[in-house]
Amino acid sequence: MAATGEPVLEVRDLVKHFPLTQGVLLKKPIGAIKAVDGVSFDLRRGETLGIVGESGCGKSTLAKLLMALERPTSGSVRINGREIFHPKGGGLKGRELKQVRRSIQMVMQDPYTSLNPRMTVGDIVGEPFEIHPEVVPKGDRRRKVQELLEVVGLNPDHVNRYPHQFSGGQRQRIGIARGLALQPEIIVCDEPVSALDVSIQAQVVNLLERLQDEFGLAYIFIAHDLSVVRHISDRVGVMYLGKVVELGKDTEIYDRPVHPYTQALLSAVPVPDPDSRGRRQRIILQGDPPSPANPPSGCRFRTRCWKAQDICATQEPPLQIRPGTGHASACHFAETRDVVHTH
Amino acid sequence: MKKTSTPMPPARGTHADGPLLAVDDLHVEFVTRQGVVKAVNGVSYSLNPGETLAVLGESGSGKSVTAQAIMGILDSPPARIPRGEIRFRGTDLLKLPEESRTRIRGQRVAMIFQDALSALNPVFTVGAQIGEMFRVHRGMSKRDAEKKAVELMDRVRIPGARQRVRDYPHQFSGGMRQRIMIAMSIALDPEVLIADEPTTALDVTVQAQVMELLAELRRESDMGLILITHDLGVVADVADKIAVMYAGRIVENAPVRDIYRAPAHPYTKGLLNSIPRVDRKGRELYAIKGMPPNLLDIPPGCSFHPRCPYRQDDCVTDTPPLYEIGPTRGSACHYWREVLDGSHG
Repeated sequence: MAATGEPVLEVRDLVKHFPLTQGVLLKKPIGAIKAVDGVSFDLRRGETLGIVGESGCGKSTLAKLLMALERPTSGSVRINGREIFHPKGGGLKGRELKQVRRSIQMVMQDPYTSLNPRMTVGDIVGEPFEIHPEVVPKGDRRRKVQELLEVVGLNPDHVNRYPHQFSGGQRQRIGIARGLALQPEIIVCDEPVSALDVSIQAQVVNLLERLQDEFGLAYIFIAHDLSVVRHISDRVGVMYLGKVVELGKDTEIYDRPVHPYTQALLSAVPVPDPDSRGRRQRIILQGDPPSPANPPSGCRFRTRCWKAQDICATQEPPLQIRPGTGHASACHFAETRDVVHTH
Repeated sequence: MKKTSTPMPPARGTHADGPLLAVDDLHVEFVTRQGVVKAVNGVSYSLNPGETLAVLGESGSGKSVTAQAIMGILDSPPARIPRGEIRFRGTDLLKLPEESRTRIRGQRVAMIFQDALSALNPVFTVGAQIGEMFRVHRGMSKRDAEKKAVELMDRVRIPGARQRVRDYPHQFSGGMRQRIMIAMSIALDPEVLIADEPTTALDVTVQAQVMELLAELRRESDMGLILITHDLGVVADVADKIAVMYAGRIVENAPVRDIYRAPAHPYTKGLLNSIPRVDRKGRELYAIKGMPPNLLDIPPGCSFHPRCPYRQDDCVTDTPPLYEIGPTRGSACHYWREVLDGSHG
C-alpha cells in the first residue's frame, strides 16, 4: 500500500552501546558492544520498512530501542513528532510515555515462547486493555477480544483456550491480535515468520498485508529472510555491524544494489529455480563479521570487502546518495550491480 | 576363542549392482500415551554414489525420522519399525546385529545435525571431538588423532586450524561450528552423508559457504548426499533429485528440474507458489489453506485432501499410491494429470 503524508516514526542517529566491564565488584568499563551505532530513517503511515542483516548486526536491538524497552546511549526516536527519549536522560515519562507507547506495538519471533502458557487466549489478547483501560470500557472487552480474534482469522469461540492448543501459525496470529489490541499505528515485527513452516508463512505474511491495508498500519519488518522482506517491504534498510549501509526502495535494493555487502548478501540467497544454477554469480564472503566490540576503523565492512582501498580504513563513508546511484549507500566505491537475476 | 565374523555390507569399490542406499516401504511409529504416532508410512527412496537427494518437507513430515532410522539412532521404545527395509549396498541394515550397525554408523554412513552448538560437547575441545572418530574407529593414539583433526579442520577451511584445535565449541561462531560438525562427519570418509537441515540456523552468507563446502566434498569423494531441508531455494541450488514428504509419505519424487518446471502434486505446487522470491516482486502469496495433519489422526484416503484444491470424492476414501508418471518421476495424486496441465498456466 502506498505510504502517505508525514512520517509516523522518525529515527535520528540512534546509538546503543552495551558497556563491557571487567571485575566483579568495581566493574571497570573496558569497552562497549556497539550494537546500534548511528541509525536514522523515517517511516510513513501505511508503509513497510524492511530491515535485513545477519545475526549480530543490531537489528533486534534496534527493535527494542523503538519499543522503548532499552534506553539508547544517544539519538532520538520521534513518534508522531513526539520525542520518546530526551537527550538529557529525561524524555517522556509516566503517563505521557505510556500514551505514546500505545501507538507502537510488537510481534515477536517465537510464537512458542512469547505467549504465557498459563493465560487463556482471551487474557493474552485482552491484557493490553489492563494497562490502557481507556481504549475499551471494561464491559466491552470480551467482545473486543473476540472481534480481534476474528480479524486475524481465528475462531472467536476459542477465547477460553490455552496457547498449547494452537499450532505455530495460529499462535503467531494470537501474537498479532495482541499487537493490534491498542489500535497502534506502527507494528515492529521481529522475525515474525521465521519460526513457521513454509506453507504457514504465506498465510501469516498475507494476514499482515491485509491488516496493513485495513488499518493503515506502518510496519518495521525485521528479518533475515531476504525473499520475505522483498515481498512485504516498500523500502529496505541493510544493516551491518550496527550501521545501515544501504537504504532504498525495494526495487532499488534488490535490482540495483550498490553496496558490496548488499551485493554479497543478495548473491548468496538461493533462488528456487534450478535453471539459474551456476548462472548467477556468487559472491562468497570470507570469514565472519568482526566483533561489534571492536569494529574496524573507517568502513566496517572493509575487512571482508573486495573493493577496499586505503581510504576505507581512514574515512568512514556516510550513508548518502552517491553519484551514479539513486538511493543512499555508505560506500566510497558504490556502484550498481545486479546480483539477483540471471542474464 | 573362535572369532565370529559379523555380517557386513560389501566394501566400497567392490561394486554390487543397485543403488548405494535404498529405503524401501519404511514404516516408523512412536508409541505414546496418546496413541500410536505414525511418523513414517511407507517411504521409499534410493541414492547413488555422487548423487544429491533432497528430502523436502515441513515439520512432522517424517523427513528427519527417516534419516534417524537409516542411522539407527531412534530410541526404541518409543520408536518401532514395523515394516520396511533400508538396504546399504544391498544389505538390509535393519536385519544386522547392533555390533555391525555400530561399525557402519559414523564410519560408512554419517550424519550432520541441524544445531551444531547442541550437537557438540561443550566440555571437550573440538580437536578431541573430531579426533575421537579416529581413536574409536581406527584405534589411533591421541597425538595422531589430533594431527588428523588439524588436517580435517583445514579441509573444511577453518582458518588457523593448528592454533584452534584445542579450542572449545563456544569459542567458534555458528558457521565455524557447523564446519566442525562437517569435519567430524567426513572424518572417516563415509559413503553416505545425511545432512539434516545443515544450514537452517546459519546466516545466508554462511549458508552459501557451507553448501559450497558440502558440494565440494561430495565431488571429491563420490559420496552420496541426502539433504533434508524445507528450503526450496537450497534444493534448487544443489540437489539432483527430490523427494517431497507429507504426513510420513513421499507425495512426489522427481529430478530437480522437472519438479520446479511442472510439479505433479498439489502440495508441491502449493509450496512452490507460496514462497516469495528474491528475484521478483510478486502479488499476494498463494497460501495453502489449513495446516499439516496431526500424526495421531492422519486423514483417511489422501492425507492432503483437507487442504487440496483438486480434491474429488475418491481422494477422501482411496489412498493414492505413488503413481509412476515418468521414467524417474512419481506422484501420489489421483489427479496428477490435472495438476501437471494446470502448471503451465
